Amino acid sequence: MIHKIIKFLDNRVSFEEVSAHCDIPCKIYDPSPAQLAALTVIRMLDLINEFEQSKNLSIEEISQLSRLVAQKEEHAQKVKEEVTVIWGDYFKQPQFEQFTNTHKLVHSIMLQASRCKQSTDKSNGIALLKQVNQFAIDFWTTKNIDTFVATSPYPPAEPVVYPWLNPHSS
Amino acid sequence: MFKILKIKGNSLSPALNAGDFVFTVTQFFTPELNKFAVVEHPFYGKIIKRIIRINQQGDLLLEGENTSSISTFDMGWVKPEWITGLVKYSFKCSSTQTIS
Repeated sequence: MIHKIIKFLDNRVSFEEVSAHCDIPCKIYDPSPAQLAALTVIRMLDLINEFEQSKNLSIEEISQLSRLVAQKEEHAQKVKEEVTVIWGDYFKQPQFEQFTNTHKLVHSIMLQASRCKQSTDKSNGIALLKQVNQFAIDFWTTKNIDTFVATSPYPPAEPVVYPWLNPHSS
Repeated sequence: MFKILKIKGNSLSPALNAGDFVFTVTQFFTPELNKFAVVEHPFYGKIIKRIIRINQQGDLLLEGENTSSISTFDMGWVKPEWITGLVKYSFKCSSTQTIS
């Protein structure tokens, strides 16, 4: 009843609005897509380097190699995009104060992702994953969520940082 | 002294939903734990959240009522001078209640 009266008045005088402020949709941030993309870069580098032994590639093999290179570069670009979004949208002054090295780390990830595009050296992919893992640690720490390192349960079976999340009791 | 405000957004649901109205005191109030405060936040603008902590300097930590809310950490410590009102009553679509 009272709500109806106030609503009636609101239609006449328009009460000021105050935002309960949902941060939807941009509150959903997670570094795992960047980590998966970095793993994919390494996997593609492994598969690309298997062709090194081949002397004469068939058309089929050339096509496959082309696809692997394209995927490597696409996922290196994806690392850049995923990290950039978290850095640009999620990280704000409190997070930058907590991790003063963030700008340098993100810039370093950008450069390393470019190196992965430019070469077929696996060590570049490993270095990229290492930096993205560090970024993941920093990200989860800003949310007061602990992390642990485990080997990815699929190729290229490299160490990945995962968040410790509490499972539901039911 | 007093102000009626209209809620926008659902981060305080189910306590307060979008479209509900709140009756706020804008002067001579003392922030209290668990009360809803209207805050002029330098980054998020005019927002309403629940007070969950007050330190010795009078700075506050705020929280939404569900996971869609911006986090306490994102809002940071809220200075007392940013508080523009305290909610005394809410007028919801279904009923009127005192906010505690």
